[in-house]
Amino acid sequence: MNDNDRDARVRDVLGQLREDFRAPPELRANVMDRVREIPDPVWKRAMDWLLRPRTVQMTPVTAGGLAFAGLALVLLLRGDPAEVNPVGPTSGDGVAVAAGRQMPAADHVTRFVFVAPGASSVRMTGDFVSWDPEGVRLEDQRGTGVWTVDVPLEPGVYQYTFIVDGTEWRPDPHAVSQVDDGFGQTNSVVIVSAAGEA
Amino acid sequence: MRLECPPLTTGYASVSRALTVALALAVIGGGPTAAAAQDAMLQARVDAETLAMVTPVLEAAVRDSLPVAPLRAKILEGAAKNRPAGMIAQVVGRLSDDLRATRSTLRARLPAVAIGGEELTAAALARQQGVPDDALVELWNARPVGQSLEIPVTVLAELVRRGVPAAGASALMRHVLDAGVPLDRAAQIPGRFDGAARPGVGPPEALERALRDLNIPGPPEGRGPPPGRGPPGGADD
Repeated sequence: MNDNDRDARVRDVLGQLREDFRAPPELRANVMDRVREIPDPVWKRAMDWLLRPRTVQMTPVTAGGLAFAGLALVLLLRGDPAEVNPVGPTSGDGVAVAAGRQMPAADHVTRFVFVAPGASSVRMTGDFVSWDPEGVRLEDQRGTGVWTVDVPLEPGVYQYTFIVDGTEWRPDPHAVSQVDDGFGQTNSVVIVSAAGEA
Repeated sequence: MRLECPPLTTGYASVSRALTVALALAVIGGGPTAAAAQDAMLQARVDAETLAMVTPVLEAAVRDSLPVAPLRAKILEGAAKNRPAGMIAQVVGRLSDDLRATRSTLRARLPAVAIGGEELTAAALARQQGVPDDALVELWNARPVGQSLEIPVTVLAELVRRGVPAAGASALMRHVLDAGVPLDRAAQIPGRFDGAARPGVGPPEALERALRDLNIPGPPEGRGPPPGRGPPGGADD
């Protein structure tokens, strides 16, 4: 093929390209059919399965059972903030020691210590338990009259008092502060801060 | 036959008003569950007479956007301590007045500053303990962004209550905030102060020892009077 023939061929091709292209009417449908035949990746199918709305039918008994199970799970996970596991005394020098001292290991756990030899029970209540008279129970694990409890507290300032033998309300003599409760008694104050907090 | 029922108007009215307060609490931000739980707690632990007397105080607090939590706590505290309704209402009313007055004072001096509920409660207690408004305002002006002043204000109040002049205590706490002293160390200042205070050791020396024990440097010169001492040649507050 010489140069003239090549040029003529090129002009011919260009002429054909300038002509309007009319796709056959079934082309779009055919292309989409082929596209649909391509399988989706696994993750997309999984997301579709999870996100696609659908109608779920169940009996009232089943629905009630599921609701009850969910509620039980929530209550189980929340736990009871008033019930904490006491630990043994950490100091035994015979006097009230380091009340409100913060324990370093756990998250914002504050150890309260109260010395009450001869007491049959010691509880502690305050604004962190909405002044529930049942409060938090202290333990005298060694029988030495040194009652202790570890209470998880968020950083903040709290007022509290001890209840000895269920009737005698007594402030913590070694608290950082004592304030007038307005009712003729004294509340103790503990300052709780997160270690390392700036 | 005619049945006569005892008058229950007071009880019903108080319960109804308490429900109103609970609804308001829910709308304001406590959420319906929390508000319902709080309302249930008040009704379970506070007698109808007390509830009737304190509900207007709570309603006013909600209306004025005062923090309700310390008022509720005080009501529950009074009930737990078996105090009469009139005394509980009086104490709660006084606390509400203190919170309102403290907020008004701080807002007048710090119009653009948001004050949290716990901070306001701490500030009200600090004022009761003798902390002057100027010291509180200075502390707020030094507050790092996003940090609660509940603990610094409480520590400031504890120092003032122990006899440390307010200007020096305020300068110290501002320095604590500026220098980024961890609050768990700052919170120990009053306790260390107590450990250092003994006959013959005045507040300035006790505070200096406490700061030394905690490895907290004092405020730099020119930032105010030394922590334990008042302004030169005058009364402090």
